[in-house]
Amino acid sequence: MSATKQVQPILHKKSLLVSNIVTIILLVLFLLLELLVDLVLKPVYSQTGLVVAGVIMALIPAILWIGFFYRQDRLEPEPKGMVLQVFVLGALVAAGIGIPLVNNVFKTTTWIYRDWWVHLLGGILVIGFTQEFLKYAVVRFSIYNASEFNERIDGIIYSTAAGLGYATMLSITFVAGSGGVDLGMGAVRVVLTALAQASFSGITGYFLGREKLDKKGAWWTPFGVCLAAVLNGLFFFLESTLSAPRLTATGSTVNPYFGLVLAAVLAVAVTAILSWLIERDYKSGLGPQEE
Amino acid sequence: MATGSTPLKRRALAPDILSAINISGITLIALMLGLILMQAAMNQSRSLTRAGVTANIPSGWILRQGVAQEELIYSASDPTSPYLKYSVSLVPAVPGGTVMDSVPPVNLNRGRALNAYKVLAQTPAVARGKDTFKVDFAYVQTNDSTSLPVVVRGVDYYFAEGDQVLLITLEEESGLFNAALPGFLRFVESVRYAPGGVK
Repeated sequence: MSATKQVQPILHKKSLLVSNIVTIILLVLFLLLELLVDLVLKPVYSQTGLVVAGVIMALIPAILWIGFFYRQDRLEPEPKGMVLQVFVLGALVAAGIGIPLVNNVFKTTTWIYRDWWVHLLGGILVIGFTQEFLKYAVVRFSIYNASEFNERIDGIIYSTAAGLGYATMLSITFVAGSGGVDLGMGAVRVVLTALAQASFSGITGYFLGREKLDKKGAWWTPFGVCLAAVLNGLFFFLESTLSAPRLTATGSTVNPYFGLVLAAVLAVAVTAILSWLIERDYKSGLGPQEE
Repeated sequence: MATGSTPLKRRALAPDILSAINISGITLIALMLGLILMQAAMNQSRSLTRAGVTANIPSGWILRQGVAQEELIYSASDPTSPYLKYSVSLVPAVPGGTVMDSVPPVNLNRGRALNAYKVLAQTPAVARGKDTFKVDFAYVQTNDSTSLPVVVRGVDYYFAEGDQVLLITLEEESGLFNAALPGFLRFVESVRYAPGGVK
């Protein structure tokens, strides 16, 4: 028995590393495929076709990413139906509350870029807190009290699902609203959004999972949501500053790859930290708990 | 010791419920601060002086300065709103006439240059602590062949300034015009004119 116990974490670590690498390779392949289709076929879409393409483009990175975290939940995998429900709920709150609040009530595009400090503070206070609170609320007021939520990693899985649902709706809105964005550029943006939203949600999810299972105090999860909101705002600031259009002698150019690199670094860092925390929990014998 | 009534026991809220309340409160505070930030950012301005005309231009707006032959001193456009524009011009006063006499030539020129230009109202008003003449107008802006024409509404404020008339104008898409008016009126109040400035 003890030999099995010693072998299992090593095997798991290997499989985790492989699944992590496979996920990143698949995301890169997805990007390359989109760029290739865009360069070779140069497709022209109708408005409906654009929405369909946007949905497909937004869903692929979401599925890849959630699959990565799902594979880590080896002790008691969550019901796929419930993960899907939380994903859909994340998309619905984005469409019904988050996007209209940021775009129509706060009208961020009309003032947020006026000064660097407005850009940074607005990113944290308006965009960061709106998105992170809504994604938190999706998990907290749906699955949190269910008996299926019985491992620390469940917080990460469900929050990531909510974040990816939110990201999918943001990407669909972007693709549909762009009125014919080129597919390659759109793919970069879609992957970037999915990586970033999944990472921030993962942070909140970790705090939520420990709040429920370890009976943490009343300021534990609020700290997690604030941390996620600040990182979200900081990411928004850096990404839009680095990817801002630059004037050249022949016109203006946009380089979305800076943002993509930033999102990738953030996603890898957050994923590594969360994976380490999950491993630490498993090593200390914190398995599923009976409700 | 019996008092005849049961003392009310305060039940402490569970930490996770308290946590949810805390998060909601923090988010609410963050959004309120965001609202204050939005107001502060929208009211931010920078001072600009040209041809003796000083005004507070909203920060981040795109500035265009008039050339020597133009009556336009400068105009400022909101980069996030394609039709929102403030303009300041100096037009020659009609010798022996009033401010009202400067209105017809301006309308005539606009009628030639703009599609379906129409004067909606002409009324006396008070702004910058002075008597002024206010003209409401509208025209149709046709863009490229793929988008529909847009009705643009505008308002002119005419101020007598010695042998010149200071003309301050707002233009905005008709549906957004009323929302743009308070900001424009603050801009009008900020305008100062000192004759003799160089363009």
